[in-house]
Amino acid sequence: MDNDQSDHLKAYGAVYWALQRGEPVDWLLNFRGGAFLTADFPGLRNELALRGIVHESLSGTATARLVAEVESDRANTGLVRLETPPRIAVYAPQQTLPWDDAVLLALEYAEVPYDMIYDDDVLGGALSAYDWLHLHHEDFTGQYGKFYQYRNMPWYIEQQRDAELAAHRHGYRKVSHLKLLVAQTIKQYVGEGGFLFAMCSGTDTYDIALAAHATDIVPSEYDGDPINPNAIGELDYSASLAFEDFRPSFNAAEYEHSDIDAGPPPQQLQNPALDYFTLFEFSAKWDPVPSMLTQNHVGTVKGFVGQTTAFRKHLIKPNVVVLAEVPQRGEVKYLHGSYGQGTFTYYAGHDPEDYQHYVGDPPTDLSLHQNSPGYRLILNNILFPAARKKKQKT
Amino acid sequence: MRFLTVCCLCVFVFVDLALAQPQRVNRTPPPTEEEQLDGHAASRYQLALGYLRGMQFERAIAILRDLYAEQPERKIFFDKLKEAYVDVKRYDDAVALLDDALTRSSAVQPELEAERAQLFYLGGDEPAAMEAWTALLRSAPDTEAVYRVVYASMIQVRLLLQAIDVLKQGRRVIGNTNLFQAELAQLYNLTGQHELATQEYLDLLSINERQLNYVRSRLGRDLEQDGALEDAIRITEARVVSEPGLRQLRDLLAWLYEQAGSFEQAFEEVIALEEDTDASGQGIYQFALRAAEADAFVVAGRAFQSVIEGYPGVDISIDARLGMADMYRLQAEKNNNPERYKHALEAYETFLKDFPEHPQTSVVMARIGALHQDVFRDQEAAERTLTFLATRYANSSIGHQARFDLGRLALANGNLNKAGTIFARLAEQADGELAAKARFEEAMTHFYAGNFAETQSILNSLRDNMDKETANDAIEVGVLLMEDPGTDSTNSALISYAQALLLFRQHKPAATARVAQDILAQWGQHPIADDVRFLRARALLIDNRPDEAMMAFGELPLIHPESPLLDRSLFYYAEILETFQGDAAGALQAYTDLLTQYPGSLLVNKVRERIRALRSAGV
Repeated sequence: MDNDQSDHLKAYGAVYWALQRGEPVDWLLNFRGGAFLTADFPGLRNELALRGIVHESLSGTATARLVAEVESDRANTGLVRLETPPRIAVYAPQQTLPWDDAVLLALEYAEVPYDMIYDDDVLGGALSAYDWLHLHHEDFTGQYGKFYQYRNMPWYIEQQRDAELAAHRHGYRKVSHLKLLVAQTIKQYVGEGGFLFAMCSGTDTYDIALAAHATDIVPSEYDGDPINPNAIGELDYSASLAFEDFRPSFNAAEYEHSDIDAGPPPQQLQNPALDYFTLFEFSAKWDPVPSMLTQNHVGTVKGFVGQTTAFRKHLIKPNVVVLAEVPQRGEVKYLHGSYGQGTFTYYAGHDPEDYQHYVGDPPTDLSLHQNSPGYRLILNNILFPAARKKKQKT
Repeated sequence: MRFLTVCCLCVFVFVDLALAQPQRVNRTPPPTEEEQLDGHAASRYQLALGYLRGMQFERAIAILRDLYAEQPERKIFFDKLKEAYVDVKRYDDAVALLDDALTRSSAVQPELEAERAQLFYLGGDEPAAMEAWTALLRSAPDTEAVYRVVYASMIQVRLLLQAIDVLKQGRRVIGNTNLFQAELAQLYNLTGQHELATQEYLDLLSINERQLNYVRSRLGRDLEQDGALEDAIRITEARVVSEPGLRQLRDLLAWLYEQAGSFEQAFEEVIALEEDTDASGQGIYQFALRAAEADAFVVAGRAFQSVIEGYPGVDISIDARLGMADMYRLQAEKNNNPERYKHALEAYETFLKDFPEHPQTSVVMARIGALHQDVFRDQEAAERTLTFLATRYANSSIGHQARFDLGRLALANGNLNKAGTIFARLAEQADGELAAKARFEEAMTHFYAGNFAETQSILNSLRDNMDKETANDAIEVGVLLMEDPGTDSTNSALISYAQALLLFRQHKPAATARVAQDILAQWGQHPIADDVRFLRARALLIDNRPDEAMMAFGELPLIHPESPLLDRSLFYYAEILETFQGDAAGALQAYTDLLTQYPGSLLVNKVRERIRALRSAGV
């Protein structure tokens, strides 16, 4: 999985495919960009060839030597055994919205199976059937993504109508109330051991909604009544997962939910060649989870913007692990934390291979970005729930 | 006792505006209510506004409440106090304020009554809200404006279904089914009731045909929603049947059919519209062009024919004949249909004969030339047409293209000197991409003639304006010359190979295979032997000799294990197995071998597609 790999993204799908067939795969953390090691079982070579994945064959002795080298204390490498393919759900409406979702693109390209679920499923208890949940670009604050300027577009009308109908179906007058219940149900799922992954506005709006459980932060343009006059004072930051002390934006026309998002970089840096973020390197033996999440063949990844582009560092809770940051700007791109028995990972930005994705733009063709480091970070997330927990060295 | 002022108010406003018109020039605007305030009240009011801006609502409310108590007739005090109450969600206080205002008023105030109901709703008291709205409607059941006020207040709080009921009730009670059509259509659309929305738009259209563009634009936006187009078509169809005399409905239906890609049905409506009016044929002609563009060739052909027969001697029928010829050509290209190519050629030639002075003559001739040259390979006819074009339109893009095609024709005839001269001159005189293509072809004439130094020299000078295909060809030839010269200083093998390539280009596959075989017999160990073998295999395949071609492709890796052509050979081999031999399992194995042995090949995406297709077919 270093620079010799021809298709990094498909490799994740091949690992998933092997796990589906009951073949365990070892993830060699920090070794050649996070290589995978598995037995040469029938059909494997053809499948790798079909998917265009470069592989190397090792003899039994060479394999034993490699494992010993990776497990040795001399290098910051480690081995994690992947055993069970995680059951994956993507929280997204059936409605086709005029923007793509990087996780869906990655899963489709890597040929990793998943189910789509939405509000009715979440509230009906469907989450218990899944190990890993991705939140698409949902607005959990009930402000329809703050796309107020698009309010007369058919997709917006349909989105608003469906959300209102769902709210009424569940006995709520306001969409924000329904979304809060969904957010809280997801939080409970995480608390009970689920793995949550969110990108772009699915990150901050989720935390904002949780923190605003006792107040109204939705301007009248979206729900017909004004925000609570003391909305800021009524925010409960203990309820959110990753962020605290943030201030929601109460301007209905502002395409921003809060000050959690640092927004796009300064004009002179709004260039894919200049805008980048760096991945932290973790101890593969002591911190296997952050290590898994940051496996990559590069240490610096090109930046990309989104409705939520980067998180302001000073608003991140102290117990959250920063996985990648934008140097010199006090901004975090990628973070990870635990809640109860489960974990959550937030990745800011919309599409790692489309610097600035606009509403209505065509989806990214990942066959043109087979080695995308930014997309690798997404796919790291789907594999780490497959890892067998092992005792850490003491 | 209150009395109704809504209608009267409208009349007064109207009259006032009418009277004001002639005097407007020198009149300064009347002072606003805020400007009329005395100094003390004005400063307190400004202070309250400052508190509101600073979100110190309670302080602002205290001042505004005093101001309102002192001057309840001042609308700005009332409005601002009410707004402040709503901002802090003190809906009960806002309702009390409205009650007070209503008590002071001697007239019914529908806007205030509706707002009061809205405040009940915002405060969570839905029964009281509904009761208040109902009472308001009951107070003036025959007044259209009251229904509008209630509807507007309800949609403020997204009570869309209830707003629909109110407007429907208004229609029923007032006894006018044409009321609130645009409002109801929008509400039905917002609530996903596309059938009913369409009904409303159709009603609107029925009474005013000039609304067609408005309805199209509104519907056009709504049709993007799931199921909306199907609903709209169904409803409009029924309406056209029940009201056959309204052409605007039929016009809309034709447009809806086109949106759905149902051009056959759209054509029926277009014809009916044409019969119904003092027709010019323009509607059918424009439809035919759209249908051809959308690949609906059969119906497009019928439409063109209908114009040709229906409007003889008129300009539109001439345009239709050209449109028909273009359509044949498009259809032939799309389906690779030789019969259609014939029809296209005949149609173009007849057009040219019948309308020699038509402004599109040069374009038609260029199309005829291209058909002769590239489809029918009638070189004599092609040369005649192209020579005429090159002479008559010498300095235009059509003339330049004709000269380029003449160069190609000379190549096809084996007249390399003539071809070289044409391309060289054209490269000097033309611009951009065509000039680069001409220069490349000039290089190729030297290549086919065995003048490799000249070829290389021209290729080296080629830098800009090349399209991707030409650039790739140029690289391929350049690499061949650099890497495969062989040890023979006379370049005999390479010269023969260039001749074989020319034969291949001249669509002579049997001769190509023969020459290639001769080269292999004489120079079997030459560095170009793998290229020659590959060319021979391709020629055999084109010559419809798949068994021999498969053998030729199959032996290439055995004889030339280091050749860069191995992946391509294996791909052809697999394709022949799959297509000609019906050996799907063998093809699957060959494709899989290709992936395994040549993972870096440019063909891997195609190969994966084929493997997946075969696998999904159960192989």
